[in-house]
Amino acid sequence: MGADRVVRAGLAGTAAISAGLLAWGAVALPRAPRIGAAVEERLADSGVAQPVTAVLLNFRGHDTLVEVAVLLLAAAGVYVMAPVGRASPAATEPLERGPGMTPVVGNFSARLAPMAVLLAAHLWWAGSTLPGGAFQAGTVLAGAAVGLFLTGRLPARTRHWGLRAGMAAGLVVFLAAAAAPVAAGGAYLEYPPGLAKAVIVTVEGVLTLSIGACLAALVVGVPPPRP
Amino acid sequence: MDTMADAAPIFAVAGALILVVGLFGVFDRPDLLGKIIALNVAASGAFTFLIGSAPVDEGGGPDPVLQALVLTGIVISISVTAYALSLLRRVADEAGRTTLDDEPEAGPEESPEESPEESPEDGGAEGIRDA
Repeated sequence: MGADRVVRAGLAGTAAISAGLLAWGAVALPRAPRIGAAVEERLADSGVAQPVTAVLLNFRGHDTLVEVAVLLLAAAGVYVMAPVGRASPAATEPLERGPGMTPVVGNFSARLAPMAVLLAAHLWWAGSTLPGGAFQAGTVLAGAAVGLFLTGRLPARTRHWGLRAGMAAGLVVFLAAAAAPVAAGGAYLEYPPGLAKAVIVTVEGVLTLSIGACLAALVVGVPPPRP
Repeated sequence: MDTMADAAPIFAVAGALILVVGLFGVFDRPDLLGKIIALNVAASGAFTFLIGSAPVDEGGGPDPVLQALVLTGIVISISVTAYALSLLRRVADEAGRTTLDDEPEAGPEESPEESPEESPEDGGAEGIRDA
């Protein structure tokens, strides 16, 4: 036990010193020049009017491409972790017999879902000019799906081929949009001039569906084994 | 925008503290669920530090590049959390415990990466759980 306490004290000491150094750096060190100015300078070239969307889908599109791949990998990892053939039905059964199913919950989630779809569509479409975009829209879609799962209005069949295809579609379409300019003689992720907005809006639309599907699958997670 | 320029170091300092508290928890918590939650706390601190230590402009919002970086980080954080929770689920199902301690009955299973691969077919999970 003595060794444990020494390790713990050392850990706490290291943490305190790190916090002090980080805080000192944040207060005392001069700030770096603002990199966002470069974005605003070239915003007209990006095809969209919203700086964050321009960075995510154009200037640093590679980050977002790999990020979508990580999200898909995590969802695939959850599949791999599931006990195949031995999954208990309890995990995917609706909670309608439990205390979670009240008149408010049951009716509310059903009426909320169409509104969530509308909101997601708006967030996707607004992403080119206002704060919004595929990730926000996908999160709203996933929230609506989880509400429907929990109230039994949508079967949580995360192994359905259609859902799997939807989860992968975002990465596939984004990769195609990134690689197509190479075939046409351009550079990787160099959208053709004049078509940049169309490409970004299309990719974001498919990404919205894929991100929603991936997040919903991640929330459902790994079912317990059959007892 | 003087208020923004003055407030930003407060966010950076708070983010640094949250980050360090979370990292301490990752190493100090014995249970895996606690470690996962601590990792999320640390990630929130890192995002707050990143945004809070960003250069502040006159009249504009937070830096769009850093916003995009943090947005990317949040999605990665969600992915890592969900995958870690699925690993934890399997560790709990197969080994019947949610820590990595060296308990007497622990046997060869020491890491969450090993246990899920070992016994999907042999039906050992029920035996361990019932024991």
